[in-house]
Amino acid sequence: MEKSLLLRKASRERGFTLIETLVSLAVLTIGLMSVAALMSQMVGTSSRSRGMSTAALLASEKLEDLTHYSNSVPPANLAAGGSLAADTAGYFDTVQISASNGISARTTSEAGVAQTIVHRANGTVTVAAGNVAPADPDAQVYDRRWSIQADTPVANMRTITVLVTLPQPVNAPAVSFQVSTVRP
Amino acid sequence: MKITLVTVVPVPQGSARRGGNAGFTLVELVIAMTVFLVIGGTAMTLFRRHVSQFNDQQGQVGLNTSLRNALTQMEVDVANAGTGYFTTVDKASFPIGVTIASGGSAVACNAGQTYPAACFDQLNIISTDSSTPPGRPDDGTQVGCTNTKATPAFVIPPAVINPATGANWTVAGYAAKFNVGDQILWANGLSYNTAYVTGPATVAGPDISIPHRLTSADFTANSGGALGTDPLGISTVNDASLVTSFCYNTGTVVKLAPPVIYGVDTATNPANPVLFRRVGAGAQTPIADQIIGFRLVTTLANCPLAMTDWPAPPAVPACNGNPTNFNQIRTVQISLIGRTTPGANSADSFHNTFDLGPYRIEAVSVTASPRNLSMND
Repeated sequence: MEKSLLLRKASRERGFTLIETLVSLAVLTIGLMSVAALMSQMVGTSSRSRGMSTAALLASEKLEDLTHYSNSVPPANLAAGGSLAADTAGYFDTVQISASNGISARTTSEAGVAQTIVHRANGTVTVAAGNVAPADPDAQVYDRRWSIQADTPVANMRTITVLVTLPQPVNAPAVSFQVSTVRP
Repeated sequence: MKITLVTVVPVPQGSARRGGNAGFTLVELVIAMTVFLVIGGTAMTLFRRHVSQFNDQQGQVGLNTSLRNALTQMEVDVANAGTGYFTTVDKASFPIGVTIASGGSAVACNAGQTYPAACFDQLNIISTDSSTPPGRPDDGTQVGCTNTKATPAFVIPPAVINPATGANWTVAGYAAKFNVGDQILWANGLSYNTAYVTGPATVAGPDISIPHRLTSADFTANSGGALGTDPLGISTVNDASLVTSFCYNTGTVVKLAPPVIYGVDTATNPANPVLFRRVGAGAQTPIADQIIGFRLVTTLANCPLAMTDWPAPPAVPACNGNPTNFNQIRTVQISLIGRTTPGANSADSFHNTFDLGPYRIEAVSVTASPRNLSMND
């Protein structure tokens, strides 16, 4: 009688089995991992969306630059050429924006002449010939290429296409933004 | 036996600890509360950290948005710089659409986390008055060269239709367009000078006669009498060359519209430099708070390297054989650096790596192209 009482008491107060504990731990781990993955994805999405908005700004700025030239005496900047698939001298430049220390560096390429303009947060601005952007591990580097096709889509018209890419935003796939226009 | 069981396990009273209705012991309660406190405390800590990060993110998003908005507005204004020079047959060969006053970008300007006026440039966007077409200079005799230093100045009305009347501009009609306070600009591609109208213009034969106060090219008093300063930095000629600069029927005289001016106000609150936009002598409209860098870099027609600083115009190195380079500006790269409000997020111990301030820094830049300044290229 005493034994059976003790047994019944023991069976009422027994804890979780190892299997139960392991299963619950597994469920908890899966839940926590998905939350962590979601947070990481959110950081990536936010970084990518920022990259996309900057890429759109840079693309429209270049398009505006190539649109404002007169067509009566077209400058060298409007000569047909360039490629979106590879860097072509005179038809690409880079914009490097630092995420943390406020340095923005631009390598511009106007009519085949490259120069690098660097604005630092301490107010100094330097201009140097060639592509000499400072090495900056924090910086995001946007590549900008453009192509100008003469007599496209019809005679005496130019099709201008600008492609801006950011190869590696934080934890996110590459950003790429392309825009084009037709002008005389 | 069953009866015994009922009596052995009765409804708990007193010493019976594990009965169906028994409460928790003190020890159990203390342990439970401790566990609850630990878990709750951890959760609260996580939550607080999250709030801090959220505020931080909000600050950065706000900074990004305000910098972008400021750039977009400046881009539009710069694109339209120099309008109105080409409205008639009297075209200005070299319109001036953008002038810049530089804070000096060769040396670091910040004193720790304070950013004084030297950290900022000023952007002046100039266009002509759209209802007053450009005229041509004269000295009142239809042969000589204008002595713009003397007052009044003579201007030949343009031979174009006045939209208000449907007929060509009359001398009287053209004179009525020039009134006290207006700024006028003489330009011939090599020399520029400006003056403020000091009285209503009158008819003088085929010309109009404008009483004016000349601005000084070198910002110092000269023999012209009561000279005004040249806040837009347009004038390029000094006294000696004024007489020969603007001759009969050559070059252009235009009435300028009130300029659009972008600058940074560091005087009102040195802890919060504000980017503002102002039209003429109007009130400053704040565009963006907490700006710590505003620089303008310009590329010029036929100049190999971009220019970072604009000294007084006569000292500008010649490019393309021209003593003034403002008319050579083809693109303006606008760089803005802003920061989140210092110390706004007290729960966050973040300090940036540049000036170690309790704020984040962001830089944006855009290259704006003044559409009207490249028409002669």
